[in-house]
Amino acid sequence: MTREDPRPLRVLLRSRDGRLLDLEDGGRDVTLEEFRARLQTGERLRVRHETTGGDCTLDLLLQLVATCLPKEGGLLGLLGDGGTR
Amino acid sequence: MSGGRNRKVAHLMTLLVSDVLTSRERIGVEHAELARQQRRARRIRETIENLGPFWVKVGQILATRSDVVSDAVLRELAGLQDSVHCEPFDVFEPVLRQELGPRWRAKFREIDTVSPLGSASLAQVYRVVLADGRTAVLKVQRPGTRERVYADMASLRRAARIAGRAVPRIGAVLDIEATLQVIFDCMQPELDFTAEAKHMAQGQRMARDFKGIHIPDVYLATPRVLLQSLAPGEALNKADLSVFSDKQRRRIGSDLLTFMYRGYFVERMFHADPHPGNIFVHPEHGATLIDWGMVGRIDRNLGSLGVMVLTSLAQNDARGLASAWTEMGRATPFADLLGFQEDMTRLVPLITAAALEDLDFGIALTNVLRCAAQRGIRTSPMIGMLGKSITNIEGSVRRIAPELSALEVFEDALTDVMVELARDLLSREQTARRVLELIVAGNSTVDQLRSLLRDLANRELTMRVGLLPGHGMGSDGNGILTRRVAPVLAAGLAVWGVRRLAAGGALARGG
Ligand SMILES: Nc1ncnc2c1ncn2[C@@H]1O[C@H](COP(=O)(O)OP(=O)(O)O)[C@@H](O)[C@H]1O
Repeated sequence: MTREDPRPLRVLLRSRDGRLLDLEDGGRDVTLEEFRARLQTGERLRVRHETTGGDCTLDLLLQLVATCLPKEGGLLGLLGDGGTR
Repeated sequence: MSGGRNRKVAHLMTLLVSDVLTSRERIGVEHAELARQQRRARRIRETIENLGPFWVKVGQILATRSDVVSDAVLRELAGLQDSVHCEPFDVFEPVLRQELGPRWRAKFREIDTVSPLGSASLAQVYRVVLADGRTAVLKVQRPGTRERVYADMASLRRAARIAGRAVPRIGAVLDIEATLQVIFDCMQPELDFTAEAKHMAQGQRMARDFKGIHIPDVYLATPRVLLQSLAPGEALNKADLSVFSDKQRRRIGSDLLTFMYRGYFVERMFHADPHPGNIFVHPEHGATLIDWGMVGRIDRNLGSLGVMVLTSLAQNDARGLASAWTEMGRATPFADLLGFQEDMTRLVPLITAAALEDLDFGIALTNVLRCAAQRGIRTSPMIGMLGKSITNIEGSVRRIAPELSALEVFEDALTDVMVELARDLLSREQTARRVLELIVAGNSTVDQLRSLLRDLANRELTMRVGLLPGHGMGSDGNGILTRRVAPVLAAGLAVWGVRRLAAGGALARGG
């Protein structure tokens, strides 16, 4: 649980057409799946919007939750069990 | 001797009880009564100073309770002096020998015994140079401290119980046992410096993501001796800020706020006293937080309700605030909930306007706390401490970067909070994920979220949120929903609330 080293903050860019770019990695495309994986490994991520320059990390988080979760049971999964699985 | 001391304690209790009782009527108090309150407040402070270090600590904790004592006492207690005189180093030498062994001197190349850095209530602090050449700070407990404090604790407990029995109305606003517990918990690190060292280690873990926030390294800790690295720069109340660039000042200010917000809402452990004297600043190095003796801890429910309160404030939502607050505390038999809601309807627009512009969430919280008490709602003592801590950090930040936009920092900090919580959620909690999904997928309004959150926080785990009409959800035996989801929702809510405010309703697009 403890991560002793300071984790650098990585800022990704949300392009006008909705793609996610990692400028520190040559402007490579980052898929939502990868974003999630990187988040889970403990990377500190922030997302900025290309045009407005504003922070849109939260929008991405919500999108992430919204798009990758239905695969694992969807809304109905919630009704099946409320406890742990 | 001890009889005289007991008399003083009894006297102090009498003064405090009268203050607590008369401070109930804060509005429309006559001039003569105010003057009387003022005189009594001064006597309270003097008696406390006279009784010594333990009581000074009690006074400092009372100073976080705007819901309990009068304004006059709050003001007096703010000026509470640890009127301890500086004692010669000889007094402390035996402690060093007992704690570090007969060859203790070999650890130090130099000790500045002539001018101690600080002469605190229960300890004295020296600047030293270690054998390896590093400069450090040595804190040594005054001899005989522990015995004295234990005796004082016992007499406080006795006196508080007597007062509680004699004047039952006190119980309406003050949870005596919980308050005593807070006081005793706060004393612990002063008696055993290894507890302070543990707080510092935890603080360092919390600070690891911040380039510009530091906690001194602990070189050595025993119950009565603490050796730590010297904080670079000057205390914020002494520093010459003209040598800092604007960018450096703003950086430090926003780092400090973000760090504290994370403490309040993610780690739920926070530095209780981040006043300017406890924050050292240096243009390149950034800020160092010292004095980790007093920390606050918040449980999850309190944490999420706390965020709700701030959110409601940010949203200018009096009703939401009143209900979140009521759930955070306990309505006594004397409670006037409707009155409280009315107070909030009057007060919230005023404090919202001020809070957002002037970075005054702490003062806002304190105001609400006070209204709640007047309407018979008893609030957890931790909230007083939280309010005080927020007030202090806001004051400190205002000092270093008065131009910082509270709104921006708040949003920024909470984005950080949200990312951490989302990580937690995504990584480990299947069930919680689905709940979040539900919220995102459904056209939930802030109100629905709020009622969901309230249910979670209340440990009523039936999900009657209205997202899925007519469906209840099975209960969550492990309380995982409560523990994991509530804070996430709370933080999310807060961000949404603030954004909505900032974007003038632009966020409504999603829901
Ligand atoms: N790490 C440090 N670096 C520089 N000065 C320090 C450090 N720790 C303490 N001091 C100085 O010593 C004073 C008292 O220390 P503090 O930890 O606040 O003691 P207490 O908790 O007993 O009040 C502080 O106000 C500060 O000026």
